Amino acid sequence: MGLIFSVRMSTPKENCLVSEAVRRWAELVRIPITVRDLVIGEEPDMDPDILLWDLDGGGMPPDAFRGGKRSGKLLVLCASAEGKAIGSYSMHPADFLKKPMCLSDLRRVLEKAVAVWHDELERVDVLCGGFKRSVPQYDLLWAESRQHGTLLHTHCEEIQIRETLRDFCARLPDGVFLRCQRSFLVNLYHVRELTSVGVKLDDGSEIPVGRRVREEVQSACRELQGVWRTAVSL
Amino acid sequence: MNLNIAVCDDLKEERVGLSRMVRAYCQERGIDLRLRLYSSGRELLDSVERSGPLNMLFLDIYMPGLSGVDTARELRKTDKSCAVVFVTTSTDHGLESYEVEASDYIVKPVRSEDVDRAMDWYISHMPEELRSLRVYSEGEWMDYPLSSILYIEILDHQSYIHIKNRTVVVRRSMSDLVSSIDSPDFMRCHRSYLVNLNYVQSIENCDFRLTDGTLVPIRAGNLNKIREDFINWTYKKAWSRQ
Repeated sequence: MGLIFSVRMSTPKENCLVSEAVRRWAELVRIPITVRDLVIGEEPDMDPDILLWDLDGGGMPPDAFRGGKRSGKLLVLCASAEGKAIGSYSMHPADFLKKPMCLSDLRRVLEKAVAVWHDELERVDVLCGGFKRSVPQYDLLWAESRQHGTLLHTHCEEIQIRETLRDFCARLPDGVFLRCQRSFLVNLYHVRELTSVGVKLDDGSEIPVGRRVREEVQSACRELQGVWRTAVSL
Repeated sequence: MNLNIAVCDDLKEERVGLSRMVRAYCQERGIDLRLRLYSSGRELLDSVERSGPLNMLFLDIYMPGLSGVDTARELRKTDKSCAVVFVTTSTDHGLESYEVEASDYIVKPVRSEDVDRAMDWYISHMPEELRSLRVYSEGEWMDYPLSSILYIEILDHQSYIHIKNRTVVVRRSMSDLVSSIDSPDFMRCHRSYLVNLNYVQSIENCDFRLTDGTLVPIRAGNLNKIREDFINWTYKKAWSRQ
């Protein structure tokens, strides 16, 4: 079943939009999450790992969520009034968002969840220097073909593997990773910007995009970013 | 327990008042306190660069020069684990305080119960590297920070806890120590050895070479698995420091 993410916003429409955004995000970062909508007055039925609680809807989150991320559970609060941020410290949420939420705020919160649940991320096994490495797919920013294999670029290091880019690509899920050029593979979640010659990523790298696949890459990026953006335009 | 705490406020009377409350809290609980006082954000940042990281910081927001929020932003570039508690007359910086991952926000005038609450929370949510191992040795109970332990070995029903520059001998089993330590930074690399991976410099043949030159044996049958686990631990550690 994976991790459980419960959302309790102040209206059903907001619940629906935020839940959709979280589902889409989970697909992109390759983390198994079940998103559950809670209606006002309802307590979480199962024990969620993260709870997004809208203070505008009244009531207080369950006690189990108060007190920070040591317990492995995250509480995120949101409200229309900025003034509620200070009062929220008594519950020690992992974050506080002001409504209407913007994409970068929600993304910041969700990436905190990734840090706590790093072990739960789906991985791809690679052989490096004779040893097996399990690299979280989320951490794989891009990869490039090298003379004797493929060089993987992750958040913290570069990993040289002997597998060809083609073979490595075949083991990755569609929809998140895209072969943007004969020698390059990109994780669409980390694309920040489409440039005239390629794509710019979170870590500042710029990856070239082949002429033939340019349109495909652009539409895939726009589609992904678009779905994600629409879902959080609350 | 040792704590490095700083109070940064441009008003002397506020600094003194707050430091009294922090001292009283630590005295009541037997906490070994190192308290530093600063009158500006710049002074604080320069000192942290020179004298090392803080566990906790009580930080005013309105100060001449660098504001408290900007000081916290600067601090976060190099230190993610220091608990920042804003102490201010203003209620306008709640959202910014979450951006810099503050652990509390106290509105002046400060009451001792506000300071106690912030410190209680910090102590119960201490970062992994500040946790301690409590052991009974040579007739007294002692707390050793996990970060100071290089490795533990079992010999003749005694546990030898190797700490920087000394060794503590205790009568506790390895499995008991493993469960007390309960930290991903420690690896049972051999039936009789538990090593703190933070001190591993390299793997040489069938041993871990530690930063002080010691060789800690790895169980031969498990070498590949332990090497893989060590590489994955290194990766995760680097990832969490980003």
